[in-house]
Amino acid sequence: MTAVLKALNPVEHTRQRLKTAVALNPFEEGMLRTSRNDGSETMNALLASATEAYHRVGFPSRRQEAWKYVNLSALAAQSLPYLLPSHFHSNAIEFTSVWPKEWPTVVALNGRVMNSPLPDGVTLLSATKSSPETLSLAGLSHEALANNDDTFSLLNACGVLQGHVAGPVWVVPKESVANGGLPSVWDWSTLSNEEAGQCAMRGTVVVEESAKATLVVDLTSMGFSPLSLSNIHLNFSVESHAELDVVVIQDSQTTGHVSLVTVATQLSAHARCTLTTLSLGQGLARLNLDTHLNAEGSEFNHQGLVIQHQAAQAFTHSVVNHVVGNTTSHQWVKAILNDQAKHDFDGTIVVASMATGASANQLNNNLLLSGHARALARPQLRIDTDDVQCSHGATVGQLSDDQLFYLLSRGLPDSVSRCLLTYGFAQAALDEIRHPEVKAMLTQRVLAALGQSESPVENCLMDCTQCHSHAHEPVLTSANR
Amino acid sequence: MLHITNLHASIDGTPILKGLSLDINPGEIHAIMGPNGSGKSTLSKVLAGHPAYEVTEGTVTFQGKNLFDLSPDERARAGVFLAFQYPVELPGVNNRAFLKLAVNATRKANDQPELDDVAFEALLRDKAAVVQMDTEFLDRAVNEGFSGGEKKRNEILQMALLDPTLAILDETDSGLDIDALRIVADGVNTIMTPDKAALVITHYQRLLDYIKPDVVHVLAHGRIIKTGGPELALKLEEQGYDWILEEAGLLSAV
Repeated sequence: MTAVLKALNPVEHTRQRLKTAVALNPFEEGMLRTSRNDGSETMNALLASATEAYHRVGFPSRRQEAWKYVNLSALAAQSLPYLLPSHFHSNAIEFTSVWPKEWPTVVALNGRVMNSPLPDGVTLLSATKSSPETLSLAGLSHEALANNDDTFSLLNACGVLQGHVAGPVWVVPKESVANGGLPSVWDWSTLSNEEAGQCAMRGTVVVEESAKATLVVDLTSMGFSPLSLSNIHLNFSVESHAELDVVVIQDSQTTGHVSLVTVATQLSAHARCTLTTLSLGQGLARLNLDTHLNAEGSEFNHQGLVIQHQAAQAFTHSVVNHVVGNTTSHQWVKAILNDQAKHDFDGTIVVASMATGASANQLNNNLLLSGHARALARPQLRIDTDDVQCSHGATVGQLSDDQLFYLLSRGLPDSVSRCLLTYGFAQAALDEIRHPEVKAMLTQRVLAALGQSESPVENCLMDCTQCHSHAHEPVLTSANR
Repeated sequence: MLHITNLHASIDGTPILKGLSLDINPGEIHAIMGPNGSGKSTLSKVLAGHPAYEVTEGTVTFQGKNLFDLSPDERARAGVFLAFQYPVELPGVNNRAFLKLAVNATRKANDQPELDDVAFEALLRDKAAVVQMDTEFLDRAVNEGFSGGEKKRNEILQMALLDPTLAILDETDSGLDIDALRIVADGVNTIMTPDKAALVITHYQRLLDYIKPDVVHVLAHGRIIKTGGPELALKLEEQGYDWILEEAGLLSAV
């Protein structure tokens, strides 16, 4: 049966499925029936694999632990067309970079990469031109697709293979040093009649042996739509003795926005990846981390910061796989929740049976600034061997009365004191960013995000965080919008 | 300057201060001594406005104003400073940024121009020198990873920067070695002028060797039971509290 299905055109396959099995929901139908399919035979075969894998996995259910608290019923109820680059309005954005302006940058607007020419080392996945090797780097091989259990990662793959989704691939050559920015902006306000829509991107970064790279991925959604989806899949491959420092910003400025980001990281021997994630905004944001420490000496560090307001919902779902021994991971996710915001941390450290000597720790701290905010924490360990060092923990709390009184007793007004403590809580999440300018710029981004709450953090702290000396340079000027 | 009359205060429904009265005039240094649990720290926190303490009776005026009409931060900006017995750590809050915010909040409230970076750095350098504080501590988070002595120096540095009218020192000498004690005391003496006052809470006479008090009070059972000159502290050092408690008829009550 499988062989027969693989040979079918993906659209035909879906029709077969519709006739013989569980009916697809309107969202799935829209995704899988999208018919732009002018690629090569290789691409068609991969699309068939992706579609087959999707049918195996299906749409997420709240009965699944990984999606237990994520309500996607509104998403499932309708088909979402892809946003077009031509929809982009120059007056709709106010976007600033969080990396030095001289860095090579790949700008994606409404799901399309706008650069021409592309920076050195960057190519785009192409339905007709990409080699199997390049596709494989982006997780687009028959084997990778067959083993992929993530619904939206598979739909993202379908979008790439159908030619709807931009797929920048950045290769940092062996023993070189490189920095880069990858801003991706979606503007939903340009859809006619406030209709629903979606955008996607599949970014791939390969840091070859002994190379060093710093990358900032800024995923910003703006403009109102009753329902919008951005579906991002990022592949990071860090080869032996290489280092990757990466910042991923998930900024959803609209209430009807669903931001789904998957970060899949593969680490080779003595490779190191330091990942800083920032989840901001007012919509529904889910960050899915799938990390594999595949060889001895590899190290993964993740500092996550979630700042949510109003009825925003953030979900951090993470699996860190220690595939072999003598590997190290550190994970620290902090959430600041105001108004009715909610954060669910669902993190698992897996230590395989052969991974003797693995060292892993995981911590989730949640700060509730409102009586109506809510935090759920599920730190988990799955250890299949002895002789490992693993720890995990979680806290949920409010600002300390004693700390607050200390600041008040120094003459700082209540609002400023709360700001200072809130910023102090957030600040630790930025500590691992080694590039000073990126750190300073990101600090301002965090302050701005905190300033969206009732407390004017931005106003009271902007002058006092040593970041004011670094000017913000807009990535998108009127000339390149 | 400060007039406390028949002050009663409790925490979680338990009365701690039970009719305390005290007057402090400009230019005076008052020392308060007393057995453990007598209410010394409670007095300092009530004056600074800690929300955990409830004032159930009595009045406190500071420079003619009802102190209880002011919030904790308003009291601080009006010139009341509390040096904490146990300064709290503020992870992620840069010490230098915090100090600048505090200084400018007070200056703004007193219609003084706020200090820019250059002016503040000059002031900070001067005051840090007074308490011989390593500038490395200015770039750390407030009190985080500080030794006990460094925390107390940081308290005195804050006091020197904010230049309060009334300084309340709650067992600032506890945990200090002899050199640190002298440095902290020098810091206090440096800010004292005829228009300022200080209330020094301590267990030990040795601090009063460096900060010379005008008046020494003994606090027990939530009220002042004896007031005297500096010689009272010396006598307490030699003889303890029993004789005063006995005089006051409180020996079995404490």
